Amino acid sequence: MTAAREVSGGADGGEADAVQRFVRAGLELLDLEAGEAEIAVIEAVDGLYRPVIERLLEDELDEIEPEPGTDMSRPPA
Amino acid sequence: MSALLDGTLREQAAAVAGGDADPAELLDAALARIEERNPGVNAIVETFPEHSRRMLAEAQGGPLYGVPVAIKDEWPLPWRAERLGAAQHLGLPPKPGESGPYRALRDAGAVIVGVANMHEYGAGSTGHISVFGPARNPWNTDRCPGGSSSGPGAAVAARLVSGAVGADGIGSIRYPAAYCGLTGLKPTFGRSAMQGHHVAATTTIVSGPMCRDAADCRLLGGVLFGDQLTAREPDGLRIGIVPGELWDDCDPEVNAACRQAAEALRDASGGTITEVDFAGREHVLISSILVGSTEELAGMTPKRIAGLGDDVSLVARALLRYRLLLPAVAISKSLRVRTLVRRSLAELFERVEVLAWPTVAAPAPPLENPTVNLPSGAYPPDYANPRQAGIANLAGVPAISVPVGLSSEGLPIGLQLLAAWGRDELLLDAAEALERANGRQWVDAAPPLAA
Repeated sequence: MTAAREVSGGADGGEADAVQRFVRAGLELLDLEAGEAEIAVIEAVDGLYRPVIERLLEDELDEIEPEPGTDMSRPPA
Repeated sequence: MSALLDGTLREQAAAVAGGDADPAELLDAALARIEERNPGVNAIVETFPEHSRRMLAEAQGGPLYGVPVAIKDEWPLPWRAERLGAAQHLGLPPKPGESGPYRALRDAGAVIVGVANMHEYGAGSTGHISVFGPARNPWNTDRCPGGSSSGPGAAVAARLVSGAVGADGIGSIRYPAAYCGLTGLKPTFGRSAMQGHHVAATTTIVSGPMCRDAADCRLLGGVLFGDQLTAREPDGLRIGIVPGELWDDCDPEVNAACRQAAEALRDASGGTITEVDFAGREHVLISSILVGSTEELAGMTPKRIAGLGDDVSLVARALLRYRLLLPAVAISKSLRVRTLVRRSLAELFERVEVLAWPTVAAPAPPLENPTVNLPSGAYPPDYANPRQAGIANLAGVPAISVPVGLSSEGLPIGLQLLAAWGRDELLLDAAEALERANGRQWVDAAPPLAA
């Protein structure tokens, strides 16, 4: 995941403010310092990935039966 | 000896086995080639002639006896701990040791001639960030070679070695294979040697061969698998094409070259092309990233991340912090998507034998501020690429990237083929059929730097 602020994606306006608060508050809760440059990269990356993460979160996926004892080298039983 | 260095792995192995080449001279020639040509591509980050000569002296024969190869900076060697292209290790300090790929190469008689560069921590599809400096694409040294197996890709394309061992957790063999005009096989999960890898509990990462053509991948892959990968002529190959963004949201030149190649493969095998689809496609991009990039974080703590200094890239320091902020529910849901995709693919591979789409959506981007321009917009490659390649790691199935053309800028284009679990040989068969169909035009093409 590489940041590139000038490319597609990225949040605007109020959403950007919310992302900024989320990132700063999250790092603060973890007692994890970050410089402005690091935060800028995080915000850019989040701007790209948050929409697809949100779509994943919104999808219920309840009907998918778990695959117990998944063996990645074989097809599901 | 220089001409033999330009040959394939199997030509080198045959020359040594037949007594036509002295393996010690071949090794010296490979080391000289690296010294001469590597500064232009920064593919090899360390050579160790004494250890290489000892490997050769102790070799007992084997399918790669006396053949120089490179290995990605992702596994320990008995004389060197892996560095992962990074200034600092994220977990416990790594130690030298006998990794699975090392043992496989040693037991096959191969000579490890150098450690190959990689994208820092394996966390990128471009190869433009490494503590050793970026590896460069031999087709255009201002372009990315692809990552994270950037060094193996650049080393083989620049003819420093004819084969290299890479690793693929979210496409990391296939991206550099596509960008550098190579054939790269991401094996079925668990089929290739992985012992000693720093992500011991991985469910996505595999070692795999990166070579000029499919026959060499079969040879080196067989060594990594500890198995004979028998060749067969594909007959009536049933090819599946997934309509939508995997094809349509690609650079038009990439789309056209890959469509032409898929049709050539169909015609060469007397097969068919059918439009198909699989469930969960809309979540493959993020699910493969979330699963693939969080498995190594079990030992991670905020304190460790805080301890990373300025010698670790700004991007890595930021991404590691970001991963601690990812919602756990999203990761859990990604595992559900994995189940969905695996079941859907299992059904799909009853109807078609291979799936085909472009390995990467656009040719190699510039090293400076890498960006790819697609019909839907401009993106960082690390956003565009996992959409194309992540599914094989998420599901565990094998996939291969085959060179199928050059863009108008002279940059390689790769077609990706995927098959069902354990059908790695079929992918090699299909790749060889495709090579024959296009007269080996693309696998034998040499970049300007190596011409």
